[in-house]
Amino acid sequence: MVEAFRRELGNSLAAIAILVAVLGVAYPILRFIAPGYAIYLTYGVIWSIAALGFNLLYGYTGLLSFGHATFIGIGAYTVGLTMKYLGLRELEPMLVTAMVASAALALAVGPVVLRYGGIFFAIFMLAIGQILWGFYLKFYHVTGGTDGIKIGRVELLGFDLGRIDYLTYLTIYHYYVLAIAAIAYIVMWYIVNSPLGYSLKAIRDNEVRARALGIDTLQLKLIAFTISAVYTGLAGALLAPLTRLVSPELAYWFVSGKIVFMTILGGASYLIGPIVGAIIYTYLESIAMGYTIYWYLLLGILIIAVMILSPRGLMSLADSLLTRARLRWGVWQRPS
Amino acid sequence: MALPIYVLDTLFYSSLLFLIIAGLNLIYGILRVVNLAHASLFTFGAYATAWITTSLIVPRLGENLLALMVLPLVLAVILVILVSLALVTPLLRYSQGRGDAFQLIVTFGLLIIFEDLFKLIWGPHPVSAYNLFFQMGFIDIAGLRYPVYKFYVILLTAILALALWYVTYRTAFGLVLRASSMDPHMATALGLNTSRFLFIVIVLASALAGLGGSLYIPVASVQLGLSTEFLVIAFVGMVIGGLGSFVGAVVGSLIVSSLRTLTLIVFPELELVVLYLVAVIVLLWKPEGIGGGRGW
Repeated sequence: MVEAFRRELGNSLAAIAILVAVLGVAYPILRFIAPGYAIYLTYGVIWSIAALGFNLLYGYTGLLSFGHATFIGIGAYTVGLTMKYLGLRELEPMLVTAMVASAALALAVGPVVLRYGGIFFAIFMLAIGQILWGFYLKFYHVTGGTDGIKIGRVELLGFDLGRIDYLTYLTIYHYYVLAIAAIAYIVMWYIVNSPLGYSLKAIRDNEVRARALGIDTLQLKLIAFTISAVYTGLAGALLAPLTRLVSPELAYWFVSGKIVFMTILGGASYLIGPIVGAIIYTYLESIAMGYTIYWYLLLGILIIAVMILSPRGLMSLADSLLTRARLRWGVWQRPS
Repeated sequence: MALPIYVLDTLFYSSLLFLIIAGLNLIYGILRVVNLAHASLFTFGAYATAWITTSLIVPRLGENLLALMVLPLVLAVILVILVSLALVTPLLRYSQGRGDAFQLIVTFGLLIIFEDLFKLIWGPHPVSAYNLFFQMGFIDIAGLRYPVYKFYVILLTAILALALWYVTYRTAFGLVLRASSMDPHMATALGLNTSRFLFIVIVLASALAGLGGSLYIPVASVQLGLSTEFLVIAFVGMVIGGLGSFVGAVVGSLIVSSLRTLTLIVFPELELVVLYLVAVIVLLWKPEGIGGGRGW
């Protein structure tokens, strides 16, 4: 019964639908009451795609990556470089290219980094992130170094948005991102509820047993890693038009830590946990940055606090509160 | 540059790496975790030494060679140990037995806390203190001027490594160390107080990292982001040498440092790529590492 309830709260299409509806309705309301904070909702939605991808590895497969900024970087630089060198302005082909590039990188490094288990994977990913970050800095004649690449207005679905005012452009972009995110959420729901998803959970719970049951664990991990990379690469590509500047900062190791924290903040054991975590994190960051330049310090303390006090995240807090309320009002019988 | 200079620079860099990797391996040997905040103690040692040198020693005692050699080093290591006792040790002990992910995430939290503490205390700009480096002067090697300071660091680390070897293989403490790193459960079952032991190991590892940072600062400047730079390189050394072993720390730091010198001569942009490719080759060929056995 508790398991069924958990599925209802954190792992159902209804929960996803409600979440998407809230994210859609909240935007005009925020624009009205706190205009400066509306854009962070778009950021939050984009980061939620990355965190969702990350969590397929962490929450469902049990692999902790400290290098997902790698794919954010790949996605963002795909957009930056194609706009700069090919003069492309339609976003859709760039999104597809970013996803393909992320998948290609994941397939290339996956067989090696996935082979040796937890700690190796975490640090190999950190290293790959650092290597690419170094490339963005060092090959400045291509990437612009620390100055990065400026991103102009993009064309969405073939519409030229160059002439409309910037606020309308941002609003259109929000719903564009939300539509893509909704598809990404639903696809992720299918993935985690498919035989693939169950096999991944089997690997997470006991890899030796999973292998004994005939699961090709390395191959499945590679598939999960690639899907995860595609999600994060897509998020990176969607970020570029919003930041209007693609710089190495997007691929810095700290960004990897951000994605980890979003996921554990929301709750890694719930499908919508990373989404909730990403939105809350984005607002936390934007508000805190207004008061202090020592955001790393605060974040570090928060990470440790969440890990010690509530390792299953905010969703599990909401979960237990709701369960308690339902038991109290007698809607449900106490599970025997 | 002549060959002897390359060799000496390689030895110098591997001395610094050894001090980090030995600590990482000590902690890995006993706790089976890679402490992501470990290199931050190195950076802390570097910052502290620079600060002690430029604002305490030089204004009060002037450019006194002996004072510059001893005081900043000792004070910085003490500071690092205190910081480690306050922040690192309790968290590592708390996270023991809670799984890889927990330990990695918590130590990552520490890593970014340190990063901002450095910014808070010493500001965002690079900090340096070359006083000792220049006070020690230069000697001629193959017709080139070579700093005496680098000899000093190589010698000091060599002595330290020997001492560590002696402690590990010739004392009762070393026996306990090796036993609990090979099989912690059996060591506990045989009546060893692994909890107190853990404490000593973390402090020792922290002191080594702090010492490394203290020795690093007279030749270079320290800035934000240095911790991850060293962490990522030190991990290659751990993998190549063998996770958690003393011999691994020696072998790993020497190999990484040599590779680094070679790539910096040939194609500096690919330094990390080459290092990690070699790490992967070593893993495929000898998963336990070149110098690795079981445990420290």
